[in-house]
Amino acid sequence: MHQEVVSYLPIIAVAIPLFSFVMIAFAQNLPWWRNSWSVIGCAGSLVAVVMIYPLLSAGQIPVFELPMIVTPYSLTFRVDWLGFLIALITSFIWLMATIFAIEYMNHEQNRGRFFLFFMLTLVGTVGVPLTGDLLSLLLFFELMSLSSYILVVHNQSKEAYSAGNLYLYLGVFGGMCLLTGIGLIYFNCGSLAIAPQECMVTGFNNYLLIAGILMIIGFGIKAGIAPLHIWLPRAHPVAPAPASALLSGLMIKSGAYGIIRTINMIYTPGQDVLSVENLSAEVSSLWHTLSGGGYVIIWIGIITMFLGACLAILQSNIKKLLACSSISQIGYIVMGAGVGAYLGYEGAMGIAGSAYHILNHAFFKSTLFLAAGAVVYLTGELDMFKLGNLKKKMPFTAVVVLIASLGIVGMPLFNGFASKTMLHHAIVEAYEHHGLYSIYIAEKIFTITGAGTVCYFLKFLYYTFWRKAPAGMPEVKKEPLLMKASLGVLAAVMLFIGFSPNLVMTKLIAPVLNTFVLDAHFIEHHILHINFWTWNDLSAVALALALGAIFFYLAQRTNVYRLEVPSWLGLETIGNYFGKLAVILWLIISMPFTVLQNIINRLTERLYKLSFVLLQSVDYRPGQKSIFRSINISNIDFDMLLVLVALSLILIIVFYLRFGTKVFGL
Amino acid sequence: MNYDDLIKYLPLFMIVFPIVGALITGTTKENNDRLRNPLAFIISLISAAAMVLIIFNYYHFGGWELPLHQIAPGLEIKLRVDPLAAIFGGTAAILWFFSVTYSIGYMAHEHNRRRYYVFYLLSLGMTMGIALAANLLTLYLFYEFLTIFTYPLVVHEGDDEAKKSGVKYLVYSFIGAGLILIGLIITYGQMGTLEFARGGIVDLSTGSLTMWRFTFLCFLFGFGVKAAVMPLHAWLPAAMVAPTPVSALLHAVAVVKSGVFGTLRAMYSVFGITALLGLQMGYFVAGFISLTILVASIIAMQQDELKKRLAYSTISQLGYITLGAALFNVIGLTGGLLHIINHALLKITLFFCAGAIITVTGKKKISELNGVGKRMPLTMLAFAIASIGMIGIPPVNGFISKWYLIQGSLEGEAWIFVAVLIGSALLNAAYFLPIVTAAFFKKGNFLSPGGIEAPPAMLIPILVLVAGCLLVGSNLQWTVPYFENIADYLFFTGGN
Repeated sequence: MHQEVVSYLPIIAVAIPLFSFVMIAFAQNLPWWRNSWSVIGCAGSLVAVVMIYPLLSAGQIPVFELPMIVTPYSLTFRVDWLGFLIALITSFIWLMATIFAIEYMNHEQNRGRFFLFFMLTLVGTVGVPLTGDLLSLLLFFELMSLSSYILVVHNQSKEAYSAGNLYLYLGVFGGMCLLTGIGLIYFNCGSLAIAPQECMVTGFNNYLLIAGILMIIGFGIKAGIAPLHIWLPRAHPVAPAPASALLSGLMIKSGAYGIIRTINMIYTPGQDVLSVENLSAEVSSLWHTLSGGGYVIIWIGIITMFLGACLAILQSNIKKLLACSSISQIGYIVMGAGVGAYLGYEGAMGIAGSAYHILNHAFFKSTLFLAAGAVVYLTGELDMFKLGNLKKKMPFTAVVVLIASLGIVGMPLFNGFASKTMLHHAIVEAYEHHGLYSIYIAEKIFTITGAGTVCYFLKFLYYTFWRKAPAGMPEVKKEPLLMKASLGVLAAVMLFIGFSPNLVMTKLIAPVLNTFVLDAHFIEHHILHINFWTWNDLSAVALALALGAIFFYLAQRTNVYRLEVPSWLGLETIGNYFGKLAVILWLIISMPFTVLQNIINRLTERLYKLSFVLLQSVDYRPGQKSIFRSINISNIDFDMLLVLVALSLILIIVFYLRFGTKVFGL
Repeated sequence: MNYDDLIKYLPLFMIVFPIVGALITGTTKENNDRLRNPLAFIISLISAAAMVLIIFNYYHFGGWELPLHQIAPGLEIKLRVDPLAAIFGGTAAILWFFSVTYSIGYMAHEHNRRRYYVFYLLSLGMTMGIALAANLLTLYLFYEFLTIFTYPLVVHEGDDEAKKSGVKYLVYSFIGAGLILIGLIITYGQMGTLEFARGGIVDLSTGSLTMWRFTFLCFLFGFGVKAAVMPLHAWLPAAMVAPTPVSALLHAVAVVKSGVFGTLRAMYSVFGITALLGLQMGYFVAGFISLTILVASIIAMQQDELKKRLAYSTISQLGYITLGAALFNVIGLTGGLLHIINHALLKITLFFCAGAIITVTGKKKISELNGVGKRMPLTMLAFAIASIGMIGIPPVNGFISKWYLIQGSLEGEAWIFVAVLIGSALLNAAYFLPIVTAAFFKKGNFLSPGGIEAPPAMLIPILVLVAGCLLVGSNLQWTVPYFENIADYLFFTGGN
């Protein structure tokens, strides 16, 4: 098994960006200073994370503990394969986004502040997967949440401010849900480790169930799962492009990561319990509960992906389209985690698919957002109906976007293909396992969503890059070198992943599965030696592509794209509905307290008057004002200096008489 | 005369020195700030240093007593150093030093500075008396003196509103003191002593349960006046007419905390855990306090004046401490005790920021503060960090007390208090974060500062204290083990 070794690498990966943050804070308005420290921060973090790889390949788990720092137990860093995978993606893409931002931010205000908090957010985001206990995870999670708020409201427009508020308050709410969940788990289990908890088997109770739900809500808000997604399409597009790339590409993954850790790891029975020949009743009942939870999560995932795709089809703003697409894609990931929980011991396919899709989606979504940033940087326009023919004007970006889009729709030989295929396998397996008709329907929705993805990416490509330029199209500048460089590197990595899915599978994804409690036999046969090039899988992709193309054609013909989104379905309206709902809820909740507040106020007044009258009547002096009324020291002044000096003399004399003998030895 | 004797008399020195210092300060001329400011600074510095020396000695050689005067058998004026005294005295003395420094900047343009400083230092002596009291009588004595000496600070403005608030303050305080006196008399009559002792002095079998419950409620609401337990809180928001350093120190740290400290003493040193459990009033008290926590937060949301909002937030946060004490388990009490120091640090920072805003921009209302982050970036950054601490987000120090309180509530099998704590945290977010976001991200009429944003005498304490919040919040080995020990000590289940 794994052997734990003490290593400074995880903490270095966090400390370097933190140090950069401090350095940038000293002179945030010096461009060369902040740019170089930003790059140093990301690159340093990346190097430290990469250096963990040899340790992990040798079967060692780097661990580092700082007792009594921030948490009353110890701030723990512990990197297993899943954490390593996420941290690697994070620091790599962050570096690319930073390079992009150096050019991009030229047309924005407050650059110093942006880079400052860009670094601080990196500390949080890269810290989340590197930590080894729940409270440390919470620390970095909150750091990420709060510091990324500043990136969201960066341009300080009214829209950004309201989107940012939604983001901030939901983030705080999520954080409190997590805190409660973690508190409950610690109280019941006496341990904060991110590992299968023994108490889940020996003492599963309602508290732990509630804790699990709260954890999923807390992480789910950040991930943007279905009913909690409302902040996402508002907050992601208003941030500057490099920040939205990271919000959409990486930060929602922290939420997905948390969900995977919760339902696929913490709430599972440990390996040692399973190695006993006959499973005890408690273990089976835990599997049963978990399976029920998994079923719910599968549906949350399915609803999220479908809803996201529908919303995306209706968008005309490039960044909003991409943000809605993120919701849809996070649905895939969450669904994978759900299948993992649903199938329990045999759920390797779901978890592997999720992990792989996290990797892929991080790459193509951040690339697409950066490309959208390039579009807005060079044209000043984000509405795709006002753009066109950018394939001529921005050929490099066009190619990169094409690669990323082919990846996201799951075209063979591009990077989304493998992960989507695995997720499809997972949902099919889930159906075959219990033969539930509802999961059969879920599988069909999965396919339709795939077609929807094709449809909205065709829309995006057609309107922005392909068709003839409409009248009044803004001037297009030349693509700057730094932008090309970062987009190019990302595209190259995507092509590499796409061409060699099995290599990535065996080197990065399959080891991840070893950290979970899963059937080793199943992993060996169905995952390590998975063959992506089967007729079934290819035909599924072909079906999705064909359906998507038909959708696109029909929508194009019937002018659905041109339709204004019905106002009751629009993102802002949904946000407003949510706001109104919150206000009503708030009124209902606070009603008893408001009543109570009135009672208390009245009570205080009565009490005060009563005591005042009482005191006055005690203080009654015929013909004179009562002392109590006439108290007024506010004009006192030290013309009575002499009195005071006398007083102090008396004090000293009393003191001397009482203690003189003892203190002064007289 | 050797070192040990000197140390022995340090508690007395803690009380007498500020009084003497205040009188010396009183001899300066009204306009002679160049003499008075350093004088006040040095007096508070020496007091803080002496308190640190006491704490240091306590942790190395254990506590000690200093009897001063015996009135009758069992009625003594007596000082003692014990862990609870060390926490409260240490917090108050050290923060007093910062507030005096801050006052130098804040009071520069105020009137009646001499009176202000004299009573400011006198109050320090009285607070030390409360902290170091060894029995209820001594505590009661200094508690009354504190009311009297803080009155001139509350009415400092001298206008009608201030006078009205001053009378309100006195009336409320005297009601509270009266209740304490009743409790004190009953306790003395039944037990023949008022000494604070580990495990308490009250033996429930000496009287009827109803009588002891009545006594307990007398103490709870008597001290509750200063601890601003609803419905006895009304003086606190009214007293916000005082100058900001006074509000900061007296109404976020010293006066209100002396109320909380008295409650803790009454609970754990007079009644003791056995008697408390015998009274069977834990859930009643905790429930009552929970209402205070939530209602005060909701009222705070409706306040537009920054200092008033902070005042209601104080009422709510003080509830945490009492709640922790009323859970009757070690973990909960640890949380409560931790919150004494954490809340003191956070709230004093917030008040100092509010005061700096008033001094620099003259704005008192939250609705006028849009974009103030441009004018006062460091101050508002400190405000933001302290707000985050108030909500209870790591790594700022409010988090740890919240964590212990949650664990304590679960330990007491009362999940409802977890809901209260989390609900209160969300309410805290709802009334603190809008100030921060509006200050930095809404458009306003403020311009960037040409030079330094606030007088250094104000800015430096703010920055030092906010750094303190972060450091105390992230280096838990400085606080948590000691506080766990103290909770153990109070529970008489071990510790030193």
